[in-house]
Amino acid sequence: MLTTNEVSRRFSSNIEIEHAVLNALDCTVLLRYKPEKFSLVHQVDTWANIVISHLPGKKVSVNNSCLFLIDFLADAEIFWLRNESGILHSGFWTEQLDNGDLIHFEALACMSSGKALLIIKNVEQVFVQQQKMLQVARETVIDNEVLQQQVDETHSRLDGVVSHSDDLEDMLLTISSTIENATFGVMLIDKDLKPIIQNPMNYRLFQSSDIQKNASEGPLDIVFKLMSKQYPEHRRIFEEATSWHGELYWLAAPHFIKWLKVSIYPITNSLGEVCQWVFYINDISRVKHLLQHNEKLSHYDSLTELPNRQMFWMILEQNCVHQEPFYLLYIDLDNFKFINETYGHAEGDELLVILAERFQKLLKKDDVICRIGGDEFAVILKNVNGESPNKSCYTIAERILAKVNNTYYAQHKDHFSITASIGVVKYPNDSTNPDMLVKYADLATYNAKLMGKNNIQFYSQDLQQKTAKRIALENALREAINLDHFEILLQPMMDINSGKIIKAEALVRWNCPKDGLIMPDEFIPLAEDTGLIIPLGKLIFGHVCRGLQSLQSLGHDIVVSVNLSPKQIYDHSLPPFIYQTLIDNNIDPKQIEFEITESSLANDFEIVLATLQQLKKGGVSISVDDFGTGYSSLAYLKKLPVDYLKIDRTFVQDIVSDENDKAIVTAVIAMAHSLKLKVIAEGVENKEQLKFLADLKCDISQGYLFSRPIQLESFIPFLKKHK
Amino acid sequence: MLGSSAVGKTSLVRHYVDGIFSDKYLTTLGVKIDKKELTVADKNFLLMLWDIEGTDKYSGFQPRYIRGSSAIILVTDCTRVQTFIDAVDILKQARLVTDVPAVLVINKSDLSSEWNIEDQKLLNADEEFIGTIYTSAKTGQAVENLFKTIGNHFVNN
Repeated sequence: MLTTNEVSRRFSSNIEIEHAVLNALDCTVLLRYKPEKFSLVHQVDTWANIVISHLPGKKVSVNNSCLFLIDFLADAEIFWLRNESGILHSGFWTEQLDNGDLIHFEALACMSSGKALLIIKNVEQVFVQQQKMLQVARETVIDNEVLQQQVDETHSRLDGVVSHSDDLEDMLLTISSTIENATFGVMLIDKDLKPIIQNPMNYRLFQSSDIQKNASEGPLDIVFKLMSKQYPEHRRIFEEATSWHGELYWLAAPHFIKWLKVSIYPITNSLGEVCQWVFYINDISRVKHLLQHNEKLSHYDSLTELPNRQMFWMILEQNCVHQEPFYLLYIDLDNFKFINETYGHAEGDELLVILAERFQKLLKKDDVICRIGGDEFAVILKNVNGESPNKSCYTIAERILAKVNNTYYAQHKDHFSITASIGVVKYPNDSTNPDMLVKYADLATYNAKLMGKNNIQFYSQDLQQKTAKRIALENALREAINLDHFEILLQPMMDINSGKIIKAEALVRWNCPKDGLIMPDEFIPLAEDTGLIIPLGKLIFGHVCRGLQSLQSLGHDIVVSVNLSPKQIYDHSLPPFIYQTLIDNNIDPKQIEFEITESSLANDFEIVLATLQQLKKGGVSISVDDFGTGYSSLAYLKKLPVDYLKIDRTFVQDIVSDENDKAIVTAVIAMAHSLKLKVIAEGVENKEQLKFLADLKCDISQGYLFSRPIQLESFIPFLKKHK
Repeated sequence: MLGSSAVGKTSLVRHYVDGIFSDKYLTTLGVKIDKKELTVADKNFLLMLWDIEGTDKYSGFQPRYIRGSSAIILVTDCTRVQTFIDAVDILKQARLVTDVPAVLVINKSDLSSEWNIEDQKLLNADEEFIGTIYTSAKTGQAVENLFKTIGNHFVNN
């Protein structure tokens, strides 16, 4: 049978339609001879009388009561007047008869040999079919949405309980009542991955005759067993203390098949150490069952129509069995969450669909691309030959990155771009085992993210060692913060006009019992990446306050400047901590100066402004460090409560010989003074530099010309000498 | 009537026009138009209620359905926070087409609310809507009031 679209297409192509065919189509065809005037070409049944009225001759009019069709005719008139090609669809609408029965229609406007036609179709059959399909799809989406909402709410309550409770017994009691009535499984696990507490639903979820027989295998054992098989990369989640979401297929033949949706979150203390893990487990078998109605046996992702994770595993295993070389690429979109949060989930979904299309266009017939997670794709590249297959694979990966980087146009003309991190592993060179291939590809992707994202990393033994080293360093840093293996050195700052020491910058050193003295450039970036900068920053500030107390007791009221990292500026607990510590140590806030880098200013201006205003209100002063190396906007500088600019050492270094540096420093000092800011020059190493800065009326200098960073014990006599 | 799928747009219309409610969710496809007369302060109105398919990944926002409207009823579901997030987006899109008065409806209020009503601030509710009404198509709570609010608005403006 012809579809309505085919009928209109045939009309458009001037193919004569036999009335016998039209009869079979259950449609009414009207010819528009004047605006809003129609004559009847064809009518099958009486249903059309609901929307049209017969006039003398073959003339008909659209019923005034049929508001939807009248509205559609406004668009159709424009369409016919423009003599446009193609078909204009009204979309479905429903009319209710006096007896309550519903009739579903669709109208189409098209042109045929210069004649304007209106086709009205009774779409009962298609309507019911589509309604059934959409009903299932929407129920599935809502089920998922509600599940996620419940998990998020419980998690937020649990997180609140854990982070505000020091007493384990109290905490467990509160947690127990929080999760008791949850409609999904919740397990609280200790850091050694042993269960602490589980809710009744979790037991019910895993209840089966098999489990009861094998009492030693509890819910957690089952989850780990399934994860080991289906997500071999899962170990990294626990090593790296990251959260994880995934679906597990639990086949306990011949008893049952269950689909479990599992979310795992680490719960950390103020040092960022994992104290517990919380698992949320939902039985999504019904959702999966519903999806199977709409998807091809649940092996395809409903959004992108690419093979899903389960299908990916089957394909990967088959490829390993065939023993032909191939590359496995893991593509992980960077900051995809940000896109979802900023532009909405609909835009996020649209982006994934566009990406899937872009990727497919890049690949050859034998290659496979799958969507294996929310924002993760996997590609199996075959037949990568040539002199250097690795190089060829890299080129393909580069093309994939370029496709990701292409601009996207969101609704309302917004546009944005996104990046991805790609990890690559080679069969059989890196491993012949599918589990290991996935694990290594995941590790390579993780490293690509660490390398600043938007790049490609091939797996290697070296990479594995590097990752292990980084994890070891992070653990050592955590321990060092715990045991306070840090000391503060002070580098004096001199008032150029008076020649007196008026300030000092506090600089941290890590005294590692095993590796000796570790300089900040080796551990501060890691602390910043891992969030350890927050507890470390607080530790450093405590040291500074105690140092100031010692100086105070000797009668020295000097100002000490402390560096603040971008993460610290975003930590809302920073200002109250600062002022409490100052009170506890009886330090005048005027003796504290905070140094923020230009890169901090480039972030969310409103947050930076609010934090700095809060700090400033308490009486501390603020300087902008490394000035000239970043992208400071002068407009921002004017608005921020800043007191000093610190000219970066790279400009001071060649100030005497390099005309460009001279010009920059001259301009910065003039600009700062006009904004009523004082200027500190860093890295002053000789008298020529100092003289030049003095001539430019630079206010303060800091550098090896006066002193290296020194311990408090050495700083005290130094201060006495230069006060 | 605009809003995400399954927030209860059809149920509100059915309750208002026919006085019936069904617990069974049957998704709307396309548009169904119902009519009902309304009298407010001795003035008679003929309401033509366009019950429009829920906006979601399967059915995008259709600007042409609201271009000739006199008012917008934006419906959310108090048990699903996502419907509120979607409403923010739907309102943005609707405002590109029309500036007719809008009412924010928080439906299913016979069930316990799962989202913070403070979140309404995101929608700038006081400025964007002529009223925020908590309804229940199941119990009939404030359903009449919802349509009267619109009538009142036209009487007073």
